[in-house]
Parts: sequence; structure tokens; C-alpha cells
Amino acid sequence: MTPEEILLRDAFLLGIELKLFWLVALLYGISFIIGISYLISSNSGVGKTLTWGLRITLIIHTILIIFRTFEGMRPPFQNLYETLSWFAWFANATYLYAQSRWREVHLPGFIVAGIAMAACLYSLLTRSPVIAPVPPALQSHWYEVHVITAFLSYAVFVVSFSVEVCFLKFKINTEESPGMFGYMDENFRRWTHRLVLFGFPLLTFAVFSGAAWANDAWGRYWSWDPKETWSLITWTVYAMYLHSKTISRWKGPTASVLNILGFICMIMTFIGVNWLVKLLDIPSLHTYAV
Amino acid sequence: MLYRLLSSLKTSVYILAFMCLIFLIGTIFPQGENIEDYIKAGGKYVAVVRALDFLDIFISPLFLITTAILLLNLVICLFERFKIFLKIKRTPMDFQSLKNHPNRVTFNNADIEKRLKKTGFKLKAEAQSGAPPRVKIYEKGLQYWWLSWCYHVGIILAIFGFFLTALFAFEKDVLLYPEKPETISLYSEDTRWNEFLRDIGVEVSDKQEKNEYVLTLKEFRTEYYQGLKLDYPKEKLERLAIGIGTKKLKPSKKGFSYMPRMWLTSLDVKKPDGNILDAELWVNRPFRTGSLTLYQMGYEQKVNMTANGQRLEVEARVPFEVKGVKGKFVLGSLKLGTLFKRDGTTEEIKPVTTLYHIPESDPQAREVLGEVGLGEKLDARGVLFEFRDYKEGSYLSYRKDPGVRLVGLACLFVFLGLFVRSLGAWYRIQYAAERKIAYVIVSSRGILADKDRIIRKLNK
Repeated sequence: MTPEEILLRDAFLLGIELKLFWLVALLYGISFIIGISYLISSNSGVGKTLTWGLRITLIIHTILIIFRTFEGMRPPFQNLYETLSWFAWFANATYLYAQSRWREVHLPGFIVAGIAMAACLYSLLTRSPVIAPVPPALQSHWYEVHVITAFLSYAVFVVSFSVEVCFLKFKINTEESPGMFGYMDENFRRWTHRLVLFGFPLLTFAVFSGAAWANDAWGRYWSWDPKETWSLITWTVYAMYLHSKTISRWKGPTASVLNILGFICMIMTFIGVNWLVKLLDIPSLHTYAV
Repeated sequence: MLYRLLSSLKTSVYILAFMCLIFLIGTIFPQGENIEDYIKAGGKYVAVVRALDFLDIFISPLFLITTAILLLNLVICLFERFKIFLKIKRTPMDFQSLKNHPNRVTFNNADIEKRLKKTGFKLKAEAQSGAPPRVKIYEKGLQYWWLSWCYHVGIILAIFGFFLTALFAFEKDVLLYPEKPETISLYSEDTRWNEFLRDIGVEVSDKQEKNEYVLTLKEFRTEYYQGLKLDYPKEKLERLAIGIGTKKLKPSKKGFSYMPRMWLTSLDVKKPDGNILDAELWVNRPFRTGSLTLYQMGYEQKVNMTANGQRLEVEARVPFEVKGVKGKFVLGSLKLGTLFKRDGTTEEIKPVTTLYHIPESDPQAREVLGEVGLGEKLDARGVLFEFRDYKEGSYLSYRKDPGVRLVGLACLFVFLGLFVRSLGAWYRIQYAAERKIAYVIVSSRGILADKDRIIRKLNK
């Protein structure tokens, strides 16, 4: 094939992929709107539609990720454009798995749909989808493992956060009859802890594999740059959450606050490090790797 | 009182919260910067920044003391728990409490105990007093409290590793050109430990010849990808237009670019004992021998050229002047080595570079004057440039870090412990039988634990 033919083929495939990705973003958006309607109407039929909307989106999103894998001839975890898509997919998949274990609870789906839509739009509007060769510094198995585990953990924390928020707002004190949005009882709440228990070792491994990658690439496993430090803050806050769950007086609201704080730290690590510059008006903030 | 405070889990949470605050400060204030530069740049809260060492927060007394307190808290907590775990006593509940417990499950057969043993449960305790039937405790799975204890030990080891790195690690660079061996030493007087020794008046030697390595570059190679480009718009609405199909993606008019694929170095490493090793390294693949680790950081290129007959040795990406011409010139990175093309073939690149002009009025601007290959000439700005020859050096860094292995092992230990603790299933069953009816309470830990599955198994 001549370079021109290769480029035309790439353009054609990328065109299909982008249409599919916009469709996925649109479906997350529709699910989010259905979720808002559910929040307003508290009609369980609308709640079920929200869950079905997310299921259909998951199927199309899975096709998109498989398509991208064939298009690039490699797993799609190499840049932020791809990992944001992966993050949204995994948040949705984790949510749907957890949701299948709940009794008539659909509400956290609207938060997950909103976050997944935001991730897809951020990826589509600010990142380049063009499949480019990987630069030397990123050619490491540690890097791949680091990115995959970090985003897996982030996706799990998204679901934990949405469960926590819904529980705090609409909890019921009895298991006898459902509340406005289903059985948001203590059994439902336990999922926040279970999800963090699952996500925390992944986050630990993400920090560890990132350090191992840095050690191989630059010979320094830890440089205290803001991105690294924020990942350590996130890790520490979730460690505090897990410890608070073992202290009887802190199991309730204190743990909830820490879970929500952990989620905020995660967002800071992910995209918010440079917001801090403007927020505090500090001229020489180090913003490497944002 | 202090011991009790330090053995408390609540204290751990408070210390972790305080550490978060320190980490946060470390991301706000520019680390490693001079206080004078900070003031010049308009930095705020100068008195506090200076007093608490915010510009070097991660080696400041505040951080070190907090870490030491955390370490102490961890050690005391682990010691206390160790004593408790060794003497751990499982106390079965009395039969009536079991029978009336809201979570108890009943089975209409008496061979539940056999089934428990068959499914891997082990008898751990049996009530010794009270009237029969007596309650027994069965357990299955790794004891989560010991797992938790083990990975906390891992955290202590990791912190020790960090301290070793902070005190004794150092990092230096070396630039290697062919046929110009360089000697490096795995001793540095600039470690924090040596700084500390100097501060307390101990004499620190500036050289330790025993630990010297001689590095001789054999070959430095660069490889490139053929970067074919698509014109993907930056404008958000145009992106949306592609998404809904009203606009098509087109190949870039700029043609293809060279995208770095790899930088590789082959060299001889003469060890302190006289042995010579054949070494090869590239980005993300350091070379390790003994305590020495070499990393590929980059390269330096020097071009021999003439400008209107005047001989010049110019370093790529470093501006230079030509007599009688206003402004400066600069050469872009020299492209040479192997090109990996998109059609699967490879090609040796004829060395080529781009010449830019930097106007006097705007030192940041770069005006492209053209490309010039090896042996070629370029007439620009009234100057005849000729690219005559070049040489390429490999830029390596070397590091000695006695903490890295301990940190690596400790982190692996922490991760495995955490992973098994979080996911692994652990069950405890309180069991008693009365007149062919078995009463059971199942408790569990770990994400993979499924009480219903255990009850189903016992029911089969």
C-alpha cells in the first residue's frame, strides 16, 4: 500500500469509530436525562429504562472498544483519548454488575451515566483520536499495567461514590418496604465499602506500577511531582476511609465524607491538578504530567 | 497515655489526614525552588513558607517528624495487635443466643458438621461450659487479621526504603561520544547523608577511586516511525461535524513526519575489578551491573558545517551566529538512523536537518529556511551553508539507590497482602445441633465471600 492509500484507509476507519463514539456519548447523555426524569418522577418504570439504557450503551461501547483495538492493532490504553473511553466503559460495567445485586435500585445509574458522558465528551472534544506510534518513554509494560489498573480503580470509585451519594440522600431505615427509589438500606450501603475494597488494591498497584515504570525509564521511582503526589493523596484518603470503617463510631457519616473526599481527590489526580494553579493564584506551581 | 494514644487506630487516621495536608502543600508550592526566586515570582505567605520549609516540604523537618510519628504509630499498633492475635481466643456463643439470633439458618439434618469438614472448614473452638448442645466454631480461608498485619509490615519496610533512598541515593549524567571513554564513580559526596556528616563536622572524602567504572561508546542508534498524519480539527464544532458525518477526515497536507521510535546505546563497561562487559540499553530498558544502573536519557548531536566557507561546529537545537548576518541560526534535531515505514518496510535515513533563522527582534521565533542533507548545500539569507559531517553522542544517566530494592519488595508485599485480604474469602460458622436440627450463623470477610453459596452447599 502507498502512504496515500494507508492514510485513506486510516481516515475511513477513524471516521466510523468517531461516529460510534459520538453515539456512545449521546446514549450516555440520554441515560443521564432519563436518570434526571427518574429523580423528579420517582417512577420505577423510568428507573428500569435508565438501567436498560445503560445496558444498551454498554453493548455499543464494547463494540467501539473492540473496533479501536482492531484499528490500532494494540490494546486501546495508550493515551488519554483511549483511557477515558475505557474508564467510562468500566464504570458502566461495574455499575451494571453491582446494580444486578440490588433490590429495585436504579438511581446511582444517573450519576454513573453523567460521569461516563463527561469522560466521553472530554475525550472527543479535547483529545486527538488519531492512532499514533507510541513514543519511546511510553514503550513499557509497566506503563500499560499502570494505566489499566489506575483507570479500573477510578471507575470502581465512581460507582462507590454514586452509591454513597444516593444512600445519603434517600436511605431507608427498614428492609420491610422500599423507599422512593427502591431498597436503599444498609445492605445497599455495604456496596460502597465492597467497591472501595476492590478498587483500593488496584489503586495501590497503579501507584506501584507507575513507580516501577518511572524507575525503569528515568531511574527515579518517585519524584514528588503533583500528579504523583495527588495519587498518593487519593490513596491516603481511601486508606483513611477503610480504617474508619473499622472504627465503630466512624463507620457512618465520617466514612461517607471520606469516601466522597476520596472521589474528589481522584478527580483532582485525574484532571484537576492544574485547576489548582488558577484557584490559588500561585505563579510557579509545578504542573508536570497533567 | 502517649503509648495508648499511639496504639490507637484513630491516631493513625489523624496522622494520615495530616500527611495529606503536607502532600497538598507539596503540590501547591514549587518544590526545590530557591526562596528568593519564589519571592521574585510573586510568591505569597513568604514568612510561613520560609519557616516551615514549604519549598522543600518533602525533606523538611515537618514532613520527617510526621513520617516518624506515623512509623511509630504503625510499629506500636502492629506490636499490640501481634500480642492480641497470638492469644486470639474464639469464644462460641451460648446455644440459646445462637438459636434465637436473627441471622441464624436452620437445617433439618444432623450431618452438617460432616459437610462443613468436606467443604474445607476446620474446627477452631468449642464451648466448654454450659448444658449441651454446645456451640462450635468452624473457619475457612486465610485469617484476614494476619494478612492485614503482614501488609502493614510491608508499609513499614517501604518507609524504611524511602529513607534509604532519601539519604544515600544519587544520580548523575554522562555524555558518551565514540572513542572517548568516560570514567564514572559510584560514590558521591553530594548525598544527603554526606551533607549531614559535613553539617556535624565530619570530614567527607570527595573521591572514592575503588568504585570507578569506565564507559566506552560503541554505537548509538536512533530509530524513527513514519508518522503519517490525518488532519483532525481542534475546533469542537468541526469535531462534532465529523461525528455526525457532515465533514470528512482528510490526510494532512504536511506529508509525513519522523516520530522517535527508540534510542539505543551499545557500550563497553569496564568494572572496578577490570572485567569488561558488553552492554546494550535503550529507553525503558536500563543496564544493570552490581550497584550500577545506566539509563538512556537522550542524545547530543554536533554538526560540522561551513557558512560562506567559514568552518563551524554546531550543536543541534543550540542557536549560533554567522559573521555579518543579523539574528541567529539554529539547527533542528538531525534525523538519521532507521525509518520504520507504515507499509512494513524499513529504510536508512540519509542524515538531514532543518535550518531555522531567529530574528533579533523576537528570540522565541523560528523561521524555517529549509532542509539540508549530509553533503548538501543550502543558500539562505545570503549565506551558503554546507552540511559536511556530524557526530552523535549518547546521553546517559546513572544512579545508585540502595533503597529501591527494599521499596520494590515491600510494595509488592503490600499489594499482594491487600489483594488477598480484600478479595479472598474468609468464613466463620457458629454451629450447634439439637434433635436433628442444626443451627448455623455464617459470617464472612472479603469480596469473593458468598454466604449464600456456603448455605446452599450445606443444604445439598
